Amino acid sequence: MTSPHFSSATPEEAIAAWVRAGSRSEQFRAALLALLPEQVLLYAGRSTNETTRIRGHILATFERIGLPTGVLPYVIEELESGRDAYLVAAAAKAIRGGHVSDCKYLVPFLNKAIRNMQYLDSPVSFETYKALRWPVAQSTTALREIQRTLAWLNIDEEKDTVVDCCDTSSPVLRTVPVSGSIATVELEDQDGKRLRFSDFFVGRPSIVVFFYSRCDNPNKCSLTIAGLARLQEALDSGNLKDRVALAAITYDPLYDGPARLRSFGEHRGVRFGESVRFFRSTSGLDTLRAHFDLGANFIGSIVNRHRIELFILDARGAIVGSFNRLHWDRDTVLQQVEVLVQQNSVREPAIRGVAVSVLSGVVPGLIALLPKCPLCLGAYMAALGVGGLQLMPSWPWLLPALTLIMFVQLFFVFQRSKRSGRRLPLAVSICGSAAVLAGSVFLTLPVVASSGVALIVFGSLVNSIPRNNPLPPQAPAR
Amino acid sequence: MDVKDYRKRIEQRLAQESSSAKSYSDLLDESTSPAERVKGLSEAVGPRAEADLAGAFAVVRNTSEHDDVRVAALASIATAAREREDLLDFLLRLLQDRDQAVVLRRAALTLLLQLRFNSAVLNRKRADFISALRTIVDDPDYQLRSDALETLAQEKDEYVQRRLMDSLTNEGPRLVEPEKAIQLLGYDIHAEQYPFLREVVRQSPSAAVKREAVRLLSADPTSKDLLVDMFRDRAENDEVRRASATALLSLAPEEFETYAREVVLDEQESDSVRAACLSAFGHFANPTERANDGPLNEYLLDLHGESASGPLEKAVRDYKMKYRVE
Repeated sequence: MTSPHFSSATPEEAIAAWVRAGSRSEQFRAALLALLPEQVLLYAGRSTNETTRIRGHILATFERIGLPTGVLPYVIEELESGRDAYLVAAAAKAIRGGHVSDCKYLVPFLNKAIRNMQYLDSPVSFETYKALRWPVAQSTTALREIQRTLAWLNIDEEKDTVVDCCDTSSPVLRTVPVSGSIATVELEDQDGKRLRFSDFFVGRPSIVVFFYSRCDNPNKCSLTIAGLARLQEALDSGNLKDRVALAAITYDPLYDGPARLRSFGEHRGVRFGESVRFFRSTSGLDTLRAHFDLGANFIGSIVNRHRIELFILDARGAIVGSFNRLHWDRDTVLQQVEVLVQQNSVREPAIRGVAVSVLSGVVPGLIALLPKCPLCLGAYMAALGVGGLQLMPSWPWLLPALTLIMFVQLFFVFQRSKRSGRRLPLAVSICGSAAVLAGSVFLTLPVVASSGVALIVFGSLVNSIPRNNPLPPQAPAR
Repeated sequence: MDVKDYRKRIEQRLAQESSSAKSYSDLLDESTSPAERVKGLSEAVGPRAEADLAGAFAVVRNTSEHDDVRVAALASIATAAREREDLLDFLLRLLQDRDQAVVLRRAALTLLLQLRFNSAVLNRKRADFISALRTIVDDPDYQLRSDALETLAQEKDEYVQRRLMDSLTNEGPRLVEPEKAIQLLGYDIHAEQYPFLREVVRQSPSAAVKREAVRLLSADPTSKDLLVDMFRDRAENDEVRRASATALLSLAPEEFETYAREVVLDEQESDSVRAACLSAFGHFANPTERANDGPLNEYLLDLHGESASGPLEKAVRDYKMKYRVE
């Protein structure tokens, strides 16, 4: 059974009525579950309060119709981070739709919810949807529902230990490297500098979180950014500084300008730098949303509901992992990133390495061997069986062009040696280039030029050999 | 006089006063005059014994007692009520009981609002408190209704936000004045309110209502152009223009600076708006740009001493001091 076609224009009362009338069937449970992701069209353009009412009503209904496993991340999210009495009460009620023996591990989350709601509790009603007057015939509170669920679980007291529940890290979302419209999405950072998505996220692994400064739940965006700052500390102390990029992108680009981005990050301990930046999209927010399948929805340009989300991208900018909805563990994220960094330094594209090596030998070779004067050209032509003196029309430009290409090749060697930390290939290539120029342009000594070519080829070959980096030291435990 | 002697004299005088003062239980006695009871209860530390506490409650509950005495007795139990759940429940019930005198119910609410700051027990009973406040959102007494609305709005209560919007859009009964209702929504402004607020700004005949609506639009980037128009419209009420300037300053500080500069340099402009712009420059502007703004600074040098408006002169003086314009 699928839900009727609910759009952003469907009155919430109609949605509530349909939910209330649903049966205890697997199909109906699946249909309700399908309405919980934040990015569902149903929530587009709705206010935060309306979104909360609909979601709370859906969650609470699982008490009556049974609790499918897929709902658990949503339930735990509310217990762990939620601060809205209606949603937290609904989550506590939903648990009672499951089996007692299957739900004992949720006790620490219920205890966490008690701490969250201790001074935030509010009267709510699940019997009257969107009460027009108060008091209503039947009301409850978040704390009352939590206590009822604890009693249902036969829990008198419980140790305050958090148990790993659900793996909220997602499987690989996509491995296609960044290309197309996402690559060209324009971003502006906390200093007002503009760049494209691929300029920052391609070239090294990266961690990106989403947030917005007007988030009124301190357990979500504020905590996420504070967590990002702790990640930064761990990366810096673990030898991964500048080898992994860190980024945060705002859901609210119209409001979160550069000054707000900087302020929000600095106040939570983030130290900005070339590889640690906050962004807003100046164009293409919809492209970003689609690319990351963001768990957020909006009324106009303003967020009405969002989840906690962290993504790990590899050096090609492909999303290779994500942590959604629940608070992510810093060490778990670091472990995944460390593996990525190791893979990145080992797995260079073979073709690119060979091409660079070949190019690095051919170009200097051409410089060394190319005839420098018309008579030499004639000699070459005679040797090759081509009669007649015939000057290459582009000869005046060829040597400078090839010299330029040789310097370009040196630049690539420099870039690669910077990433790998090896200086020998660069030194050898520089000496070789100098020898080629000296031997073929200034001194006309073929031996010197040929030696230079050999040095360049050698340096490039060594540079393209993958280096086995030792694992970085373990990040310190929290 | 020696300090010790002085202290001794004061202590003797206090002891004399307290011995002649009526005891708390005497103040509860109906035979004492109401005026004396009110004065005494207002100054009393409060009931020290459980019997006195019970007596105070009896006075509060006694509908034949003078209302002022009941209110004074209620106020005197504040300290005792702080950590007593039964007393707090009593106050919550009293607040919602429309059969009780309004002055007594107002006193109960005042007491509860005070206890929010120092009663952990009351804060743990937040749900009951919110429920009680929601019940008096429709109370016939304006003061009770208004205080309840304000408290609920500060607590970001979804129910009261909905009721306030309904009252503004004529989908529900009017609860307080429209400008007050809009002001209360500002405690937790939501995006769905922006279209309504923009309409209010464009069409409301009341400057007070427009001012409050403009204030809330400072969080809506899509309202920027509207705020610019309001700010630059000389036909608009000065209060509304100043509020628009403040909102624009929050949304788009650089644009604000550009327009504000034009306003300051325009002698046809309202002095109060010019003064507000200069004050904003003094606190929020880019200091380098202000210090290097030759034409503006020269103009202000000439302006000083010639302006008829006190606030404008003061704003000019402060600006010059801030940016060392001499």
